[in-house]
Amino acid sequence: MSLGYEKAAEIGHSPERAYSLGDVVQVMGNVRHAMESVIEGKRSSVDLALVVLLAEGHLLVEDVPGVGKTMLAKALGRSIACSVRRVQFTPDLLPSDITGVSVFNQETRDFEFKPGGIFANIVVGDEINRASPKTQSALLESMEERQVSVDGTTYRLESPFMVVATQNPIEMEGTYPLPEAQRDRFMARIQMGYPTPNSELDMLESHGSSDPLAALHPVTDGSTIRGLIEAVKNVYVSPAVKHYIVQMVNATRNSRDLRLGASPRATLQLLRASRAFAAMSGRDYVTPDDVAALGVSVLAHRVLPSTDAQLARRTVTDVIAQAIQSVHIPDRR
Amino acid sequence: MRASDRSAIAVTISVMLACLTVTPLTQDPGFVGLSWVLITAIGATSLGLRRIRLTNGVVLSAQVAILLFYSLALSLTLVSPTSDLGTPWFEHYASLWGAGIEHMRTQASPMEPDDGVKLIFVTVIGMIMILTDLLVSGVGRPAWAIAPPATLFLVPALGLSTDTGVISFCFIAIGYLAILIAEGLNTTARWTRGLSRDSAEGFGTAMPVVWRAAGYLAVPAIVGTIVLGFALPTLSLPGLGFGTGPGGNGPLQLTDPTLDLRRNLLQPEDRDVIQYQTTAPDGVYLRLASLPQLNANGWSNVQIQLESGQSLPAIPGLSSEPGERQTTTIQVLDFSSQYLPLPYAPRTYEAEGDWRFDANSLTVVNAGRRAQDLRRLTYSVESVNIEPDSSELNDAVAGTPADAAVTAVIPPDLPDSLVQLANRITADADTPAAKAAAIQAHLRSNQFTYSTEPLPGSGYEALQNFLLRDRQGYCEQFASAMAMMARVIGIPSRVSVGFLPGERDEEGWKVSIRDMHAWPELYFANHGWVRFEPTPASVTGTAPSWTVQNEDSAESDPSADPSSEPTADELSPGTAPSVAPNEQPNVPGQGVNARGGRTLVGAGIALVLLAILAAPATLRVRRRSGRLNGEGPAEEQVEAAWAEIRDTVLDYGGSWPEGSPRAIGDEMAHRLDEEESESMSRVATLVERSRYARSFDHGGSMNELPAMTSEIRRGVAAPADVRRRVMALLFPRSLFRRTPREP
Repeated sequence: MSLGYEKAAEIGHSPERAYSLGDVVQVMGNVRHAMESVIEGKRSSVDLALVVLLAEGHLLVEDVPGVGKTMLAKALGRSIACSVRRVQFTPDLLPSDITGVSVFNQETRDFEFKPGGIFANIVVGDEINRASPKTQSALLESMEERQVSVDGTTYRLESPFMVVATQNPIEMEGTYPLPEAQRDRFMARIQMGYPTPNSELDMLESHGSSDPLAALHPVTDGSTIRGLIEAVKNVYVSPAVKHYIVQMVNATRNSRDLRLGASPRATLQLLRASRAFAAMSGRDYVTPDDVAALGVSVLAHRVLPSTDAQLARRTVTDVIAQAIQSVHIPDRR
Repeated sequence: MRASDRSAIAVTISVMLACLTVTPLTQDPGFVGLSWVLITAIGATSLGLRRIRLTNGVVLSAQVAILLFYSLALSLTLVSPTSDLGTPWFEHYASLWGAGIEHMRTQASPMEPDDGVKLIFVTVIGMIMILTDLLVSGVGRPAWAIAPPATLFLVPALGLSTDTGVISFCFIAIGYLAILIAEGLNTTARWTRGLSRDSAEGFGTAMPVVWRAAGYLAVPAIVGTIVLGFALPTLSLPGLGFGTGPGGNGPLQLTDPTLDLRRNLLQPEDRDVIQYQTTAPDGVYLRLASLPQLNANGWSNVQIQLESGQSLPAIPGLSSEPGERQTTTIQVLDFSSQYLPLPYAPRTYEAEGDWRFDANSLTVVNAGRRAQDLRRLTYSVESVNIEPDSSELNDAVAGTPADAAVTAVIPPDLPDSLVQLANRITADADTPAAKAAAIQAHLRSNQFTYSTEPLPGSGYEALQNFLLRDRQGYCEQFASAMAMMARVIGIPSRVSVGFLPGERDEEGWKVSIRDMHAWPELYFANHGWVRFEPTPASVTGTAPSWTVQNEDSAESDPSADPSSEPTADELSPGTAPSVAPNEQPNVPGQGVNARGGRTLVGAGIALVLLAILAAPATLRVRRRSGRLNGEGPAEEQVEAAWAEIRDTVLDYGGSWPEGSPRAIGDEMAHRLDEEESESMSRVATLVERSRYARSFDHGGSMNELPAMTSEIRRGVAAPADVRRRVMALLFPRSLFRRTPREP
């Protein structure tokens, strides 16, 4: 069922109310449905994007050009009636283009703050690795702190706030790849991958003549998402599952195949993402399955493979998956 | 399994085993089966009534009611010697008890089969079952449950002079162990309540309990066995027979001469009990007592009139003393009796102590009529030998002794078969002496074998067994058979008990314990009581000359035909009523019972083997029913059901998937049919909820959990072949699963 734009706007205008997990399932189902009208056969990527949205994280979409990274980000933005901005990262992009700048207003004879690209609910950062490290840092700081400080004034960024950054791994020339410390700030990384032949066929049908993105109407709004985020925070994580999460992150630190393991921030974000994942399944508790399902997406971009693993041509994804498998699933409360 | 169920079953098993310990007391193990039925009924009552949470009073009343009903019903199927079909049931019941008590009082173990004893045994075992159940399930004192079965153990332990054997003790021990284990499991179930550690249950908790219980039992058992092992054999109760077992220091004891001649003959060590010097050239038979009465219980003593004095009255049946007196000086080495061993027929005796004599039998009895330690008693006796001339005897008619009312009576219920046999054997003989000789010759023929292992039985049955069936016996059988047949053909008879002359050495004659003997004495006019010797030559040597028919003495005196016999008319079968109801059929069965001991040991070993074989299956079934009993918190039930499904998969040789409940549920669902896979998913979801959710909200599906679990179990078992199913039952792999440890 798809809510019309007006309906969504109505929800948006309703006063803040408590949302239930049923709402989470329903609204997210609508958003997923809307996004899937644009992104064919990428259910897991879409779901992961929504998980990150609900868990108040940021998403790193990394893959070869043309598989729909930007399309995913844009579809997410279009599905939700909230402010969406797109920043195209280039080598000459300045930090102030991200954060905003104070401009002297002749009329008021005062400095006036012109907000940058970051001031939106959903920020689509295209080809983030093309920007200079300086600009990248400006973005990443805002992402982490959810606020922008310009000329001594701090501006809070409105919730929901989510950065969907895309990155092209093979175009190396003229790029500044995100250092691992910076990648740590993204909650999850999606590797889109090529669509299946069937999905690609469907894509030809839908995208061949018209632009489905243009036909995409928002199905919810920012305030609803805010309410859903609050609802997700009530999802219960049993001590056993917390233990499981910690063990999983520890497994990456102890793995011989990894030079750098996941950070405590990763632990926290894995927990939050698991909550959102459980909520989207309509459950008010997190299971080890939730955690395991998110493990690779949440952890893989934060770690560095050891030389041995690289020589053995083992991908980080494999290593992480193996580390996850090695952790005993808790069988008691 | 519920705690109360477990206790009731343990008690049932325990008492069942305990009642096996009294089997050495009787030759008829038929009471065991009857007892087991009663025990099971009482145990089932306890189980059922405690399940519906009735109070001890109600349970106890129901059990007592069952016991009474069963005991009464049993009594109606049994035959009492003192009542018949017309007797009211209560009198019949009482008479059975009376007969049983009398039987126990008069018989040495192993007692000959008796219906009264059977009734008593079954009833007492029922009482012990009720007591044990009351202790364990009623007042919750399982540690005391050793006491009632132990009383059963102590009866043979104290009553039998031989070793009761470790098997008996094992029965008690195993039973007690069962109760302790049941209690231990119950306690453990209470301890672990609230802990839902899926992998710690089962072996994890059962094993320590078993070991602990074994520990409880092993130490006392070993100590007890050692102590009892030293103490028991020297115990002997007065009145229960020849009482010294191997290693005992007490004197050979004899209170009732009928009791267990055989035991003495079987004494492991042969020792001298009497030595004597005599002027008789061939030694003398030392007679203790004579048993004049024949009835359904065999030969027994009667009330006798005791007179004091050292000179005995005239020899019955003899007007004058034949031959010259023999003087015999007797030293008792190791012997205890109420009778003074004397050669027949004694004329005067000099012995310390207060001795009386019986004029009819010329036996000399202690005035107190109690067994006396005769050790170091030396006394002398003058006697005449009754050794009639063969031809004179042949002319003699059967006499009528003073106590003919006893010694000449043919019991009316004597089986026809015995009467016919006696008549057949003596058909060709003309005179009483010839007839007697024919009987003796028959018994001494090679048809009969001397054996201390005759078929069991008592009274007429023993006689029938001996004469008509296996033809094996020892002096008691030979003597009683001859005395019985003599009486049938009209010669008054009695069975005497005493000692063979023994062996001669330079100091005199030595009589050993194995010279204990029984022989018949037949009464002939003008000759009195004449000793016959039907026991084979291997034991007694050649038969006395007067007991053998010579060629020349074959001509018979027609006047010797005992037509004027007071008992002649009783010879006709018509006057001997049929005693079919009293005959115990099933002789082959009795033969098996003779080897009951060995069979019992074999059965015990088989039982233990079976128990070992059945142990894994039992443990597995117990664990399953424990898991699916629907008790305890919902979380525990769910975990238990989950563990049960896992174990079932393992039992049937499958592998249990790794991972979370959901993953396992999905994997298992692939292996199962549609409906079962749906149940599997539901159970998996329940497990997931119980483990990971904030509060376990099972949405009311707990009721269906056992059904779902069973359905999944069926689904798991469905593709298995017969071999796999049997393996799953007998050797459940899940029992031997290594408990996974967390990394």
